[in-house]
Amino acid sequence: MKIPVAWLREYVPVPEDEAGLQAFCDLLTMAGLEVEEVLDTPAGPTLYTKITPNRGDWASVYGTAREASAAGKLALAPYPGYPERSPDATALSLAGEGASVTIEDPENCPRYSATVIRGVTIGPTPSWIAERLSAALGDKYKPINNVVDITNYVMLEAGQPLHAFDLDTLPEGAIVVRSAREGEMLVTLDGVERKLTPGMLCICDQDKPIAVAGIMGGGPTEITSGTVNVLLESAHFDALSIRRTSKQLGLATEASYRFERYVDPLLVGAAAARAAALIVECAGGTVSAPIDVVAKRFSPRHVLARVDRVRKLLGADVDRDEAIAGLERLGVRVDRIATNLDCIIPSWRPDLTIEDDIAEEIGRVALGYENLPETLPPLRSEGGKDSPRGRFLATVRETLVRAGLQDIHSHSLTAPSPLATEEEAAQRVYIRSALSPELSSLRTSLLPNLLTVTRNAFAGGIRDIALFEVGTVYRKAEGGGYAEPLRVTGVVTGSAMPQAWSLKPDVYPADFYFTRGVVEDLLFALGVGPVTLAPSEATAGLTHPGRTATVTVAGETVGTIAELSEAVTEANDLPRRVYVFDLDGDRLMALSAGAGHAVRYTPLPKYPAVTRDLAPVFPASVPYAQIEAVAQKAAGPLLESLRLTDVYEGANLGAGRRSLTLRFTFRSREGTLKDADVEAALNQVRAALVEQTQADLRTG
Amino acid sequence: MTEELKAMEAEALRAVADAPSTKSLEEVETAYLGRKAGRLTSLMRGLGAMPPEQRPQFGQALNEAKSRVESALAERREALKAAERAERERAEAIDVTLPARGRPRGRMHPLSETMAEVRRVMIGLGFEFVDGPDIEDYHYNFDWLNYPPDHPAMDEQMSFYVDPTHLLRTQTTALQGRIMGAEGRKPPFRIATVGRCYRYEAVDATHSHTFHQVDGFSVDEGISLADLKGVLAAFARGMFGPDVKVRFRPDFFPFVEPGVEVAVWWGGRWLELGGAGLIHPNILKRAGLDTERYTGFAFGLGIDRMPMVRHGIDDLRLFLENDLRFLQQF
Repeated sequence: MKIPVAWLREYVPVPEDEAGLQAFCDLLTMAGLEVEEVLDTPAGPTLYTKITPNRGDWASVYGTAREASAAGKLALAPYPGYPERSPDATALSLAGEGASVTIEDPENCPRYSATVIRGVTIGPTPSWIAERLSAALGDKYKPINNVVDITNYVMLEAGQPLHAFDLDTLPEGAIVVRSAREGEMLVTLDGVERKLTPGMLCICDQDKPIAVAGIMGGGPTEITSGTVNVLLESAHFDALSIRRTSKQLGLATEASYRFERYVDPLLVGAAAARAAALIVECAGGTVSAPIDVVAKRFSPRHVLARVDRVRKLLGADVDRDEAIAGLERLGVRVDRIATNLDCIIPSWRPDLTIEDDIAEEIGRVALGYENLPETLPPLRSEGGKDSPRGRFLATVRETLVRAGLQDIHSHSLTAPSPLATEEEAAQRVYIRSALSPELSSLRTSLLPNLLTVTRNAFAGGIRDIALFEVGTVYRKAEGGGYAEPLRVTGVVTGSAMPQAWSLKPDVYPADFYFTRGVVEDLLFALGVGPVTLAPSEATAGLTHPGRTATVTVAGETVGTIAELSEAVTEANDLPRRVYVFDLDGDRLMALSAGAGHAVRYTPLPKYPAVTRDLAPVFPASVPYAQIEAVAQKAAGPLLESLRLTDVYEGANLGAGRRSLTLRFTFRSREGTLKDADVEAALNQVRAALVEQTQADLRTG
Repeated sequence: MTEELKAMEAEALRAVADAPSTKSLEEVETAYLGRKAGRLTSLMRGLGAMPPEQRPQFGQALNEAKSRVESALAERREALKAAERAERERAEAIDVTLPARGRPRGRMHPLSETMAEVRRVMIGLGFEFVDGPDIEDYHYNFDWLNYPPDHPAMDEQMSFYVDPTHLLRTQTTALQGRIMGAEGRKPPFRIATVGRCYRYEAVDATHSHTFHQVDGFSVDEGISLADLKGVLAAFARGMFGPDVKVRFRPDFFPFVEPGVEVAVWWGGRWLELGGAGLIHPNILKRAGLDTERYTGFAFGLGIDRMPMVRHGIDDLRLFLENDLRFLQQF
């Protein structure tokens, strides 16, 4: 709320100088009513306060002054006639002065007071009122006339919304407060015709609604330049009722803002009297005694607070007398019952309902949080630990960052991606009534965002790009509900050794095999293996049909490594060759958790190894994995390791043929190997390769 | 004969001393000590022509002379080798200021870095991390946390709904009900979570519809507001350094009572971190706990502001836009 300091000063002393004003603002802020800034307005310096939802009583000049007074032990000027003694209930219908009030819905309208003012002269709003309203309401304020703006002025000053009707538009001056009936309509002051539904509290004449209670008046009964007689409404409405109606109508006003936060029921009379007096002062006329229907009497709440318990909750040894003095400054009446405090809660504080609330008031006002000690409670649970997911995220990020990939965090909320598979599209989770396409759904894959980042970087002239994200994707779960799978997804393009200035950029490209290396490195760091890759067409369309592989660990498919299809790179302005990996984070996390300390040590060898190379020529269609498996099996128990050291595809070999250099290392645990043993093993390898993998040994 | 030996030794020693390189030293060695034609070696052959009684004496003198020449040779060889190595290494000098050739490591996203720090500090304070879903049940996001239906407090929580009862969580505090309710965790405990939250907000330099929080909550006997302040102060020191101070300011959140806003004095200003307070007794009761015996604290702090202040970042949007020119600064 915006509150001109000069207005506030009518009720509480506010220092004139800048430092004093700042201290005053800090006082309010530290009491919980944050002064966000001090604005400079034609009405002088104006506080911009941030009102928490539980403190409707702060939505007024007087309420703000009252808080400052309690927090800073400042003198508070009384607001005439307030708070009044809670009036007893009356009949539900009263009449007099050519008007009548009937409450048909006492639950939602416990009190309605109508003050008749006859013989007013409608005129322009006095400038001092207009200035303050303008400072307080900003752009929302348009001067209307003296009577209406006085009701607004008193609302801001005291916190009680008021409404003025042209009495002569009300048949027999009758006011009926009731729920709307099916089919009733009302053109509200903003010119909108509104359909009212049962449950919406309305102010009605003898047969139809003339105002939406506590929210907005109606056009036909408004104050006009020709108005002579005024019926001034000051009422207490139920907060929840007003909020629901306001939501249903999509109509929020200064009045509804206050009513839905609860308005002090004991403000009805004082606010009406203040407004009536100002109207007479500015617009003339004579005021009659209000027709004040009290359908339900307000009785104050009692809350019992144990001083010991309050001290325990705060963790501070608050002085009992200071605690009581602080509560009393807040308007709480305190009866001492033995060591406990029987707190009688003031009518403007609906938020104080339990002992803990009293502890808070004592903490913030009597003790002051700056005086709250800092203590460390003993740790009685098991020590701290990360979650499995937390540990997994840390390992993935550290490993991939070390491998040279940039860690990114991208939006979960996205527009549906054209790259999504049919399955993904069917499982996509949509946001209801989304305001824009970018906020219309949740990502089903991390890849589209990564590709957007890649495209932007590429467009910005960056050629060597390596990125990953580890994060959640979202989908509808089978059988209802939602699933949030964890994915580890990366993109690489350009050079694998971008800083190797002695190498030509294309000597070591970030290609499929580099990407495989990154993935294997990650799986190793997670303690997951052995890894096998197999060609796949599962992501056809998105990826290159001849350069896509599923990644399998211990018989479980954990993801994909692939080159993007040319169609995708072209359509998305990406570099020609882009490699991606997309791994199932949940599965990897589970495999990793089971991996434990599985490695068993092998004693170091005592005898020397013998290394031999074979370089047969194979049809290119025979996959290396098959060749390796055949060779490994055929080489027998002496084989220590088999490593691929070269792949050669030359015209001299003929089309569709390639030579693979296989390096065999043999070793025995029993003794030094003889040439004959090694040769025998190699002969078995040769024979198996010829027989099972169409090897041509002539050139090898 | 002895005179001749002496002269030849002197000549050999001179030749050793004058040899300019290991190569010419080898020639000197061959010339004097070579098995076939070495001049000193050859003197041994003259031994047969000597009277027998002179032979032992001359032989000894000759061996001694050879040994001295050999020592001189060895010494000179070492010296020349060292000099030649030094010369070679001078010639092999490289430009050490040329850049590194390895594959440069990637960079951790500032949010990852901050989240890792948060986890490290919180684990040190005895918190156990757990994870909750982004798509949250209305029940846990609001009902469990004491949000009255149709309350103005909901106005601050404009939400993304995916169906009438599920929404993107507006606060990581939503986990409280899952832990204390669904899982039925019994005190004492200290639980924490880090995660993504969503609220309908106009996006600008300091607001986003997507943000990140760390939530911590603890229930035990005798937990007080002062304990909360102490734990948050320890957290703040762990995150921001030993001189950081914590400030509590009254604030309102339906799930705590008393409720405070937490700020830390860091870098010459108050940095508002988030909300905190003692867990509302309604929530402890909902969890079936005796509120006379147990109390608890809870806090939910914004993560995005931490790297913003640490790195002087003035636009929150940079975090999720992933401009590499931004990310590679860290």
